[in-house]
Amino acid sequence: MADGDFYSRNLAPKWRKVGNTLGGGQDLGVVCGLASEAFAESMRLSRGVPGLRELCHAFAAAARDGDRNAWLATSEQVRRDARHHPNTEITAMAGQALLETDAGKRPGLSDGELHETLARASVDGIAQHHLARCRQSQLAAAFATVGELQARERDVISGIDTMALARELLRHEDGQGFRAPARRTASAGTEHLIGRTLRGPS
Amino acid sequence: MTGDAIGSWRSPGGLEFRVSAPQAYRLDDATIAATFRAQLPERVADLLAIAMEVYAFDRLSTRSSRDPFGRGWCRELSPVLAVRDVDFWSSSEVAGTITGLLDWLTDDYWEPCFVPFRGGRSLAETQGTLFSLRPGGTAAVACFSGGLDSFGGTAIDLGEHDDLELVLVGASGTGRARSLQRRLAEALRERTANRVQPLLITANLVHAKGRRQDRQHRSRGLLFLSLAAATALVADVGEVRVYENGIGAVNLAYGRGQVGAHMSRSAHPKTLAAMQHLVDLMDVSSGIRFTLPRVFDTKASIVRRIPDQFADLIGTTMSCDTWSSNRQPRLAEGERYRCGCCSSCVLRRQALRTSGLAELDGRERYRADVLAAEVSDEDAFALRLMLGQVAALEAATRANEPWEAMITAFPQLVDARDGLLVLGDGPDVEDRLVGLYRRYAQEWRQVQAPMVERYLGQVAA
Repeated sequence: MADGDFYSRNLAPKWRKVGNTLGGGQDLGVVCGLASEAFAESMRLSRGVPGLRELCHAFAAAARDGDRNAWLATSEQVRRDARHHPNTEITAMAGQALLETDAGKRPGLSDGELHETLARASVDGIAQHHLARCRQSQLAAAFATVGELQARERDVISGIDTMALARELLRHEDGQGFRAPARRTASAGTEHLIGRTLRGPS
Repeated sequence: MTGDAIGSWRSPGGLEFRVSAPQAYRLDDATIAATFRAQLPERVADLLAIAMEVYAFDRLSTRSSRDPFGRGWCRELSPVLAVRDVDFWSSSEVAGTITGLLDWLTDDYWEPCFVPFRGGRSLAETQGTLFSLRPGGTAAVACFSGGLDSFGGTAIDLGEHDDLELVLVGASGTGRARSLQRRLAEALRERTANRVQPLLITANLVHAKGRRQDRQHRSRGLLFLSLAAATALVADVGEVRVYENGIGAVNLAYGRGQVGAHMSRSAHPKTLAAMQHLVDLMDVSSGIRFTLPRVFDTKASIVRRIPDQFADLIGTTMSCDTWSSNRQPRLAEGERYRCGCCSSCVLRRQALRTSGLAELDGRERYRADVLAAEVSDEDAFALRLMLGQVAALEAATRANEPWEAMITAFPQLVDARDGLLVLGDGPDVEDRLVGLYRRYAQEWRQVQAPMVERYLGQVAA
């Protein structure tokens, strides 16, 4: 039943630039660097992922013991306590998917490694959340098909150093003091744009 | 019954508001009792009062969409709910079930407070007669909105089962919606030798004009399902059928940009499972089963299966999210345009076009034709979102491990699977869900429209 489906159209700070560079065909390294910075800014401004620690503990226990019911109960409570904060919702969903898809691969991992696994999936999901919102507002005309656009978005997510961001997230669950890893690619100059057709937002 | 919406709510910014709206709503629950010449048991009357008070409270507490991180979505809601059996509804298990269901449906933080009901007993609770008019034979209650799915599901079941009797429960807040439901239900009744019994219930806010209202009203699912459950309990019928196609019932996010209850969960399998648990706790009858008979069908496959004897009524159904409101312009003959832009309109058009009813689709009046060559970005917003979802579904259902690929792309699918397992839909639910989404994506490939072709491109090898 599709009654009044909601779609937020406003972009969080710095993500518009990520969308513009992605839609404008900029070098992938540049887009990934900007996405990393936008992610860090989003963490600081949105107060991180409330309840991440509890989710990590529940996830580690479920991955080790296979007790999915305990995970579900904790996850529901954490989401409620966090007032359904979008970052918490995304993290809980990511944990749920991980437990379904890779359940057999986890018993040998330490608690710390399991926490990192969930935090990394959380980073991945939150970055995708913001990137997908750029799609509707700016990117529609820049790619031949929506499948091509989605593939490019996946490239951006793969190009972000999610492990470094995940470790930073575990250190700063509330987002305060969260910093993006140093950029590996320098900002592109504008010389390469000379003589080139520019593709703008839709 | 009429009732109040009283309590307080807190916005995400920390501002606290008091809601004090005496006689805020009207719910014509007497229709249920009068139809079956029976009384509403106390707990059933309480369930309806809770559902309606929650709905009124939900609508009178607004969300904000300004925060770019989506933190204006969740409200803290503390309605005061007047019930006859305070001890029962306040018990930790029952209150926890209600709170869990509301949190899930609306993404809010609910903290209801149950207080003793001080009013007199309503007509529905006191009127009774010597003769009951309960349906006989094989009977079920079905939710009936007047939309294509509820009509199609009803028509299919009536066509396939000669001895089936259906009580069609329609709840509506506007005269237009009620009139549509009545027309369709009466037509079904005439063509099935009275095997259909319409039960149309008015449920609306009063004195709400001019007040700021929440437009999502996510708690609506609780109200509709409670009315259907109450009808089943009074009529002594053991099944409530929700005829919603699988795509609409599960209502996956269009993409990662949406979170939680941004997509309505009114007919979600997990909602029905929670509702069934709540009704079991009420312990009023030998139990009710909630079912989603068409959950593994797409909307197009429902349309294809509608028996010939009912096919001419398809054009009478309405799918648009806003057609019954005053937001759409009026046509000369008194009807209103469908908007053509909302996802419900788009999915209806896809279903008609891919089930051999393109001619009917061409005759229907839409304010905006999003399948035409020229369409504005604003009008095509929902279509673009839907096509993005279709592209992701195509990729996932073609993967070597399609279920894993599906839940990686759409993690919320796990909730749907779990809900369906509770509803008793068998161990092959995952395969059937993958099959459903594969067929849905394939159907979109058959829609000949410039934007669809441009967005989806050629089928990947």
